[in-house]
Amino acid sequence: MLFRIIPTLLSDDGDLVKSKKFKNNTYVGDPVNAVKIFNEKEVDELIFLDIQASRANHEPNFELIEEIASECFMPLSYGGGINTMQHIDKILSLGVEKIILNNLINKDVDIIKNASKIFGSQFLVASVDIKKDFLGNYGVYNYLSKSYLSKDVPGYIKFVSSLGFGEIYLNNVDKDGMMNGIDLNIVSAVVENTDLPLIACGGLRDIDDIKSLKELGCSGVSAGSYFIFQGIHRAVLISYPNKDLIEKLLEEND
Amino acid sequence: MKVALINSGISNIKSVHNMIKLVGYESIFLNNENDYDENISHLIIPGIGSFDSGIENLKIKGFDQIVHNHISKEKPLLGICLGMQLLTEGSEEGHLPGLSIVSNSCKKFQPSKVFKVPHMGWNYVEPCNSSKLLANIFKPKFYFVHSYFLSAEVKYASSLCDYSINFCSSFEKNNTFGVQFHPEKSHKYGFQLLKNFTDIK
Repeated sequence: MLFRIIPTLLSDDGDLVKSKKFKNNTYVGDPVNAVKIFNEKEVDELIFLDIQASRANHEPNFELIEEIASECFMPLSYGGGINTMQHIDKILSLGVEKIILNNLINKDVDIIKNASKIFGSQFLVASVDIKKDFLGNYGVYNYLSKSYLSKDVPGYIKFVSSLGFGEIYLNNVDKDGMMNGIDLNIVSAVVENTDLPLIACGGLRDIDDIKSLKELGCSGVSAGSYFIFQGIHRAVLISYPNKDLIEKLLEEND
Repeated sequence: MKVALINSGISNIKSVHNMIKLVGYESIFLNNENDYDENISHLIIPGIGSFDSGIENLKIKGFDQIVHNHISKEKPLLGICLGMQLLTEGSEEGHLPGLSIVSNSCKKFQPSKVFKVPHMGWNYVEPCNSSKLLANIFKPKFYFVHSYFLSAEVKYASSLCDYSINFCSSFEKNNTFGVQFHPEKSHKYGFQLLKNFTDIK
């Protein structure tokens, strides 16, 4: 089984943007164009998040999702503004492999349990955002209300793992866009509290991070800035590591 | 040359359609048995979901007969993921019999901390028995999502994959093909595989 390296793309009202700590969005281009480039680079998978849909309380942009899915000849996960069974059904039918749910976990777990029965758990990804409080302790963060959902990260992970999801996408808000290294301690605490595959996101700096995550038992890593920006001036240039090289480096570690 | 995709409800049909288009063919969707016609040369059974619901959906719409009819004329047929498993005798996942094109039935992976279930992600396959589908693919690797697998002992196995145990990742019986992975989501590897499939006469 190969470790998965997954770019996360953020869409804000049709624009491709990149955030820092879930704020300060910078415009980085056109989403469809970026998806085409990532497809050409043969990325393992792609995560596409509409970060405005839930904030503005509007439906997923089905036209954009369909256009993006038609350019993805690799697995595509979509998240943003999904509130109903119909949304899930429609998005899967457009050619999306996995549905990412975040706010729905705290709004309506019955939809999640039902969707898991009908479509199968492998199509549902739980997105969990974590952030340190002023004491330096991690909690589960709600980016909509800018408040903590829970101060017990392992407990929340256990709860989420019982709902019928097939994967957990863990996003570290404090590390978002910083490229200063993944906080492995919290990732380790999460891995220990779930049997589900875990994708860690937030702060990816280099291949050492990837090696460490694999050792911890993560199934993959995701990042935005790491694949979008180059150099200290954060010039926009989409890149993706050479997979053969990465696989060789990871094997040396085994 | 006419490629048709069986549309039996929940499935990854749109993704398969997109990849077939990239290969160079506009595929049609079959919503029930009446949509099938004798000009259809290549038939694909995409599929995701559970085994019993997959078989039920095929039977309700009369697709089981279409599949047998297509195979009896030695026309190329490809089952993808659940679509492959439906061509076997059955699965531990359900109670209903499969279409029994190949003998053997599907078993469940035993989960462990290292080998989580479902088997989800990219993995290499080892071609065997001079596979037609895997021709001209260097170091073939594909995207998998499945919890049940077909034994490596299947007589018609055309590739094997290793995930805690060796299992049959594809089979080829005359012009009937099955792949456990998702060629439609496997970049150039899946492109070449579907090209090889559509090249089969």
